[in-house]
Amino acid sequence: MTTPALSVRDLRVDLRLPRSTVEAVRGVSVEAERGCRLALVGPSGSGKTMVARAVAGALPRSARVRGHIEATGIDLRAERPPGLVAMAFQEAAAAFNPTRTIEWHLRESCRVAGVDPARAIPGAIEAVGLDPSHGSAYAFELSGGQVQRAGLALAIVTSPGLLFADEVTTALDRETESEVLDRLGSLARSRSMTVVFVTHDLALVERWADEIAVMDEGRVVERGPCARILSRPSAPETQLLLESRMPEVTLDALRVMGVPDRPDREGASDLSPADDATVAADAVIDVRGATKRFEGKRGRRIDALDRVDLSVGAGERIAVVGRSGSGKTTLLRLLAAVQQPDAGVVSWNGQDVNGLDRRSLRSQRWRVQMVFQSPLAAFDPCHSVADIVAAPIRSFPDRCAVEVGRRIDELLGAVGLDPDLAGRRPDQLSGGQRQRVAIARALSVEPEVLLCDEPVSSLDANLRRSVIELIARLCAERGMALVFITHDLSPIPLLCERGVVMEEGRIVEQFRVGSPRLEATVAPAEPPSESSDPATLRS
Amino acid sequence: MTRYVLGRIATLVPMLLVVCALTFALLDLAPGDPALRIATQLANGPPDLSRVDELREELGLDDPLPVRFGRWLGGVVQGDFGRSAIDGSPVTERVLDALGPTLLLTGSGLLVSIVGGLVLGATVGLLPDRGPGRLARRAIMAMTGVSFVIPAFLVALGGLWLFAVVLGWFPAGGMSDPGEPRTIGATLEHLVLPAVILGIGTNLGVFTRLIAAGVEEQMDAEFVRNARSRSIGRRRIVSAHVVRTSIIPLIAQVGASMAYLVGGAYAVEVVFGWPGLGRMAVEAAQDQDVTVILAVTVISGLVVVAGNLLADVLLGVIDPRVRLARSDS
Amino acid sequence: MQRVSLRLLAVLAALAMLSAACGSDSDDTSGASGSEADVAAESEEAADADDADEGESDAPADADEGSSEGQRLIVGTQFLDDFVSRSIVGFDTPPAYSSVLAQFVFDGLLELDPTQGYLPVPDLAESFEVSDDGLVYTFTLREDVTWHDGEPFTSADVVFTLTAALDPANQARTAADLAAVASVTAPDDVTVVVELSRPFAPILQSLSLPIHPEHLLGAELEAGTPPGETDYAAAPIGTGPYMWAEYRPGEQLLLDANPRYYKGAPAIPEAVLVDVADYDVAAARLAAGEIDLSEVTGAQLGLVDGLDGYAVNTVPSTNVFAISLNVADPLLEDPRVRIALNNLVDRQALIDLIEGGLGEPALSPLINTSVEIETGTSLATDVEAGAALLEDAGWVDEDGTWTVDGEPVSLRLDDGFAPQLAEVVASSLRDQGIDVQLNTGDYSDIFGQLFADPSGFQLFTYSFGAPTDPDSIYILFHSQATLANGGFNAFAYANDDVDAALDRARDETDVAARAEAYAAFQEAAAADPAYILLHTAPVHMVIADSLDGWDPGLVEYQFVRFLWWNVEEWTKS
Repeated sequence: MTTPALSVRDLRVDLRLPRSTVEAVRGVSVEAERGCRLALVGPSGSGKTMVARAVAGALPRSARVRGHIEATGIDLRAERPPGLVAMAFQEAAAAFNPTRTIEWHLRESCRVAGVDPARAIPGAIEAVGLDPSHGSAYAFELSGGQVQRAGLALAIVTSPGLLFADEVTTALDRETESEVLDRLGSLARSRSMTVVFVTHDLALVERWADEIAVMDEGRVVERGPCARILSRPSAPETQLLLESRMPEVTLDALRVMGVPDRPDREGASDLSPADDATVAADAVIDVRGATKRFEGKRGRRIDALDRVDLSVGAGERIAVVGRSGSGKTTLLRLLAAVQQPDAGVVSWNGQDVNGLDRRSLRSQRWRVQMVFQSPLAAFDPCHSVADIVAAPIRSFPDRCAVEVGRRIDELLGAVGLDPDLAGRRPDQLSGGQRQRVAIARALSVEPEVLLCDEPVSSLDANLRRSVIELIARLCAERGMALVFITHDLSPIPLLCERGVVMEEGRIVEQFRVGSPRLEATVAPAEPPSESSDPATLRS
Repeated sequence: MTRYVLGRIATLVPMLLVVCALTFALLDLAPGDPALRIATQLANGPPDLSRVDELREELGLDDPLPVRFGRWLGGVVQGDFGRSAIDGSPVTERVLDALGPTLLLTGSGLLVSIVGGLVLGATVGLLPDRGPGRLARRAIMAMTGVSFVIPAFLVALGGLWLFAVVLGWFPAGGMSDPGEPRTIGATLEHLVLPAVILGIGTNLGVFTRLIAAGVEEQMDAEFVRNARSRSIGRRRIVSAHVVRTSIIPLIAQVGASMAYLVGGAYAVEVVFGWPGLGRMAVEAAQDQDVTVILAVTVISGLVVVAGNLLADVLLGVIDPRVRLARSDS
Repeated sequence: MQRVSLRLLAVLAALAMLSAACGSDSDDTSGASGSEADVAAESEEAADADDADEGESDAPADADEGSSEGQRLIVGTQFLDDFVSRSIVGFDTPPAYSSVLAQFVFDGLLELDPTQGYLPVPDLAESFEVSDDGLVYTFTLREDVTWHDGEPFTSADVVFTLTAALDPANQARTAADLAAVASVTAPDDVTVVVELSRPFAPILQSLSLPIHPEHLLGAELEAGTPPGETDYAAAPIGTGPYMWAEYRPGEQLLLDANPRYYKGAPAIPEAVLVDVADYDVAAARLAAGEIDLSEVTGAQLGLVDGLDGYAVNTVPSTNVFAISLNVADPLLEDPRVRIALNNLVDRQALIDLIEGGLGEPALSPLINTSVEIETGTSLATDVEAGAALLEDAGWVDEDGTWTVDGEPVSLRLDDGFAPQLAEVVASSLRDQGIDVQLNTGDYSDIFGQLFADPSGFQLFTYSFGAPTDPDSIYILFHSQATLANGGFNAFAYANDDVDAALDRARDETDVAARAEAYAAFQEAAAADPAYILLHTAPVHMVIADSLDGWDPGLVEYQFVRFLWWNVEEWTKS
């Protein structure tokens, strides 16, 4: 019996906070054989990240560790051989020193581990599919997907025996995610690397992991081969996880799904772009021929958008999908008039917004509100929930007929939050709560259009569904239009009636989805096949 | 990078202009008749009253304020600060002579507070809150608190007495020993005490606290945890990671504290007989020598502005986020 | 973007600062000592001095006898920059406070001999004659005097200097003192004839002004260059005991002994005037042993008393602090009121609070002058006498407040230079039931206003003295000395007896007769005071024990004007 790659016994991690102590990990014991692909799953707060950090040596200073941690027989609490254990963080950008380039970090790791950088660095970059020119960039210059890959590269550059990957693909679209995981898989095989994948995405687990350990509230509740646990879970927590998944969706499935809903529109099988004339008339936002170019570093020109046309009708709900870098976010920014196109026209209710002077434009801004991907980054950490939610009202006091305090309570209630949370600050809320606050804020001035940029990708799977459902309901109730960027197709059937696919700055396809299904139920997934095809949708 | 620097310069020039205009206007508001005042200064006793009207005409004191300001500004742009109202000596020369020592002192003082702030702050930030470390931390933090409160002048005088007189470790003033030639060695020897006092009396406390807070915060930053997970040793973490990121708020603060530094430098100059702008300024203020006051104000403003600019540039060098900020985000 | 390392930046910064330090070496304006030999000598001295300094800084700093073992006289003084500019530019005459410098570097036709009561005695002029009508002064110059640059001194230099001082274009401060001069001529190289427009005995004092070399300054002044901007002003040449070596503005002035000085080369080879910002700093530098002498006030006595190697010399001063009274003001017209004010002020409190107890009440405008006069006591502090006088004058005491015509009396006191003093005087009078409104301001502003329109003033703080010739008070008391006439009698004080006495004193040359005249003046002035006389304060001069040759009796108020008159005789051990 070989020495297990990972051996954790009765691990306890306490976080000493100013006013209390949180027991993040309460006696976790887990083992993994060499070459194993272990998935560590659980809802947020279950302690899975802390376990990873404890083994990798990346705990916060306030943490106190007890228990036994071993990797290939070496007691990690006594010594930590460089390059043996590595961890790729969830928030990849934060893992890098903001004043140093990516390559600098890679070199640093190589130097410490005694690895030849000339070979290891290009190898790592290629393995994660990162553009080599990004090596000389700083973390903040890269997009979400790029920096996540960079973080992964940093972890694998020393060919560690044990790799912890903490939610390293959340910012990637499905295709890229598959690529990265595949490469990771082959890397793991070729270097006999044991990979522990920390995630809440069960679909990913199904596709990729050999074994699974389910955690809840600081303990391991189930452990065993993936196939068995996922099909016949014994712990109630595992069952809960399985139930909150959203259905896997493919583009083909979406296309097929189209159901004629509005008699005045074209038939279901019509896949041609929406009729400009009919739609433009009542378009809340209309974009014609929008082009946007960026000056990349060293003079490179990037065409972020290339002659894009899009109409958003009143109350219409549109999804925007595509790989990272396809221009989705740029398009959203143009819709919101926070950036101006280099060519083309953006109009709100028929009025060219870029032709307006600053003041007039500012007075119209209540019409279009945004919800962003990263709940923490969007808020001022010093403001309370009440401040955050009420902020737009202060700019547009006419949009609020009632007293501000009441409105805040109303909004919090509408998004399913306890009004008592009004006094809390963002860092005192969970991710799901924060995103709800963001939605509440967006609703506060009763906009005509809600623009969402990947609002749920950084949330736990079990939370995603509820937030999606919330957005759907609010839009329907208030007649708000919705433009919803997502790389994950699963929310679309629940939420949108129309979708556009973007690729390299252009809209290459549009499709109808039919009326959003608020009550779509999900049956348990079939046992995963050997192939890596995504599961098909069951309705 | 060039664009960044030029951009900063562009914002600072109008600021300087406003400072000049304000000073000019304020001095003008001072009660009394400047021509009369000058005539009184020039005489050993009662002024020649007929002279007063002559003076007024000569100096163009009856012209409206903007005209006088324009005239003065025109001269300044050509590098001519006019003549002292007291003895007619050309001001530009005197001011330029005094500028070198002031820059030397101010720069050294700043260096002292930066280096001191780094060392003390890092000590506070890195020491554990237990055992002897705790005592050291408390002592340093108490010292910073005290240094906020005591005015620079008192610190200077006290420092002079303690280190130059009682202990005799340093010379008690001037830029060189009386009668001795001005060598670099002598200048440096005379520079030590006033520079240290200046550094302590002005910004050491602030910088120490900034660094201490920054280091403490940075030591638990995500990228530091990541570095630890990659087995990067503590020493290297501090030197290659934490120092860099902790120093950023310090540099930003340097820009903000330039004015305070220059003001403190003047107090120190007076006490230590350092022949810089401070001495000139104080005497000019006492004599109401308007041209000298204006010249010193302009130059001081320039020094502050230049210091700000330097800090901004340094910030751009150290922090790529500042340097590469996108124009249309 | 090139990666600039922090280290490189640090090095650059250090280099930049060092070059700033080097840059300020540009002030080596060595006029007379610019040769290489001197530089070599200087660096040798520097080496010696460095060794000496090393020893010094290890020693405990209860000061030793100063630096460089008798090579250098180091004087701590304030207003160094002013001295430099005023003596060169202003042609300032002793007893102007800038004359410290003048006594080191220049000579005048005459000098004031402090050991003979500041009698003008021959200096560059070896003898002089006065015509019977007192209008023509003929000076015979010494023939053994050379300028610091080796050129011979001649009468042309004297004529040049006096003419330049009188030329309004040069705005010499001393011009007023020379107002009586009608013409200056030089019949030959060794003779200068000064003709006055009217007899004026004090002209001899004014003729002690520093003489400048015509061959260096003449051309520039003729070209119309203001004196302050001449090349000469950057490196003046005189005939005095010390030569201008190097001026470091705001810091120190270095002087070398003049080997050709006509009285003999000074014993101390170098002299340095070190600028000290205020008396506290002066005390510190004394205590550190870096300067040989400096003036201090009572406040610093505690710091320097008992300092090893130094002695504190305290001497009375001639400077009187007073409150000038507007005799034209209805409240102050009556001489009895003015005498009463003198009686009511608590002088001792002033002395205690402001001078730390060291000082004397002043009961006469003339104190410690060259002419010995007896002082009366009618103005001494005597509250009852004062109250009686006020009543005589018609003031009514209503419950501790003095009133006139039913209105409580309120007087305004303006002050431009001594706020503490004004405060104490005001409160002293308030204690006696007279309300005083204090108005403190800037010297030039207040005095400027006074000169422009005195009518608004009632009381203002002032100080005056007659350190040399008692005639100095003429401009304060004589009815002719109005502002319009260039005098200082701001309020047109006019008293026939005072006038007569002052005129007599002026015309007489016999010392005894003058003394009588001044006694008469004093009596008249006491009966009709123009001032509330306050006090005089002693002067404290801290001098290193190693210095010898100076006269302790010459330590004077305000910038020590006459201590230096024989600096060429001083020695340092």
